[in-house]
Amino acid sequence: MIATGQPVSRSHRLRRRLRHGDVPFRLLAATFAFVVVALLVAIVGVAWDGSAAAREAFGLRFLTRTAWNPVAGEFGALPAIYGTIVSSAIALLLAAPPGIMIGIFLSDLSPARLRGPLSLMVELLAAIPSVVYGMWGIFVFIPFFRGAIAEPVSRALGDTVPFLAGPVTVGRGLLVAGIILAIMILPTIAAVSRDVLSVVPTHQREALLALGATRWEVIRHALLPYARAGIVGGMMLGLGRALGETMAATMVIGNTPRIDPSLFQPATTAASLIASQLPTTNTELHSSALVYLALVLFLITLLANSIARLLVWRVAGAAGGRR
Amino acid sequence: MQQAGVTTVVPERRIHLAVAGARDDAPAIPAASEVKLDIRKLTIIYGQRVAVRDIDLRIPAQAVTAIIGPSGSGKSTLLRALNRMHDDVPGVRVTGEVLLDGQPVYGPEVDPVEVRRRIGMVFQRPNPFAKSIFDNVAFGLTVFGARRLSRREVAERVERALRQAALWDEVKDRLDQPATSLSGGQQQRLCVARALAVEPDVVLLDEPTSALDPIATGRIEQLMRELVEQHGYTVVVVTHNMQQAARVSDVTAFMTVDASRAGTLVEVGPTARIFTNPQDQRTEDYITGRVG
Ligand SMILES: Nc1ncnc2c1ncn2[C@@H]1O[C@H](COP(=O)(O)OP(=O)(O)O)[C@@H](O)[C@H]1O
Ligand SMILES: [Mg+2]
Repeated sequence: MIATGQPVSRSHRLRRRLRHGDVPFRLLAATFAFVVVALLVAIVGVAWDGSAAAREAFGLRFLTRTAWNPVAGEFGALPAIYGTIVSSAIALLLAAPPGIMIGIFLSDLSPARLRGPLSLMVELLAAIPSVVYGMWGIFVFIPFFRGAIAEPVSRALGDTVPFLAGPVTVGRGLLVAGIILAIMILPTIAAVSRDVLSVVPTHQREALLALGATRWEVIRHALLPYARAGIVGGMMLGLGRALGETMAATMVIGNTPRIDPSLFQPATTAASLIASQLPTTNTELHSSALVYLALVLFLITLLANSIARLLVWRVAGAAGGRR
Repeated sequence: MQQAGVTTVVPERRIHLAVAGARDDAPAIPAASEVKLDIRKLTIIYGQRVAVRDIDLRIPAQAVTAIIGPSGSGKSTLLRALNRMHDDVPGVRVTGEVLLDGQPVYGPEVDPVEVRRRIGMVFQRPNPFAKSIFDNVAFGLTVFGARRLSRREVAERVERALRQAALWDEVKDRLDQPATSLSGGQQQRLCVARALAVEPDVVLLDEPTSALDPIATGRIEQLMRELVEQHGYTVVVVTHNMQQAARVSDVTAFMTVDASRAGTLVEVGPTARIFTNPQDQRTEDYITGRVG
């Protein structure tokens, strides 16, 4: 670093770097990074173009309109937005606590012998294709859920609690979709939690252990604070998956573009509405509205990811700064 | 073969201790009744690998005991067994006995958490929590203290611990600043204070100065003496620095690796004797710098 024999060593260094592939590798990596940006621009561009007719017809009111009637040429995104957000929120709410607990168990509590097989099983859960989850939902979960939970609950409480109102007809609906999505994002949250917990430095655990902390106290005071940012990140990854999940949601949510306060009633998500209707559109406005909806969905996931980043930054910043 | 080595050394060592107690030029070595930690036939195995084998060692109360030996001889492994830090590490087996004031540390009824509150530990690298100076010391009291203390009691105990750790004067005006704002040596003394705040009898230190500069090292060494002489703690310090052992300890135990690569205790005795008149050739080779 210090200036001794600069000219010789500099050209020598350049030659070395070229020969060892440093520069070419940098160029290659940079190219791929720009390809990602280009892809993103292209996709947004196509969606923008394709949605021109619908944007002209409805403008931003598209976001607040509730009618979705292809025959009458009426299109509004609100029911799809509502279904997307509510089903994903249910999924996150249901999956986060057990997912984090599984992560804690795998990283810290599980006997060494069980850790490998259990981790593998969690990863397998993430590898199941979503259409299989959908099928399982249709053939196994919905019949059970309708008979054992939805019908009795809506009969007992439906009159007083609008969220749980009946009559339960098909059994498909928001809550069922939320539950299936929860199962699908559970492995993501569990695996990320496990990973971020297991990189918590040993010296932090040991500091607490040596003070006479119990296992739970070590988890509570050393592991969770240290890993919080990563766990939030894992939850947001799961949320992202739930927001965009198409196949399983399409199969179990009932595909009804309608806002009903009851979680037992059929609904739709943006992704499932697009997937179920795009192949059979008759008018240009219809397909254009679906592309517009895709654009909206993209914005929603972008928003969710940005919020996640913000949270992670804030948490990481707080942990690294004062106190 | 190494077995023979150990078994011949052990009785010898006991004699040294007994004899040393009678010598008036040596530091006061307590009689057997003042043994704080009695380690008997302690063997520690990582998976298949024997890390230390058949350790017999008595740690005298209210003295500084140094454990010296080359890297990898199992000093840390032995030290961590004393407050059951191996308990939650998968694949570690500890056999033999450790008695704290005559009570088994590894008894079936014994809560390891209780053991660790009586035997505090300070690590090689300073490892304060990402909290304020005050909160670091108070942590063991407020967050999972056995009984609830009033704010005043906590503040008093924090001050006492910081004074005992010889850090009070340097931090008393900035207790709410983050612990990371302290220098490495101060952080290490903070870790000592944190350990002292829960009022242990014994303080274990594993190479506490290896990450510190000479001045900070000197302060920690002085602190170890004060802990024993002024505050009555029992201190066990692992170090691979022989000068440090010679400077701070009353009793020195020398460990090395035997032919099967397991750590063994070669010799233990009053520090002055170990350094001037070692009984075992391996000790002599080590302290004269012929090995390690
Ligand atoms: N967690 C562990 N798992 C497996 N082997 C270990 C572990 N910790 C230490 N060892 C081994 O045990 C032996 C003793 O290590 P250690 O107690 O750290 O020695 P020292 O503190 O004297 O340098 C070494 O050979 C080391 O590789
Ligand atoms: Mg060590």
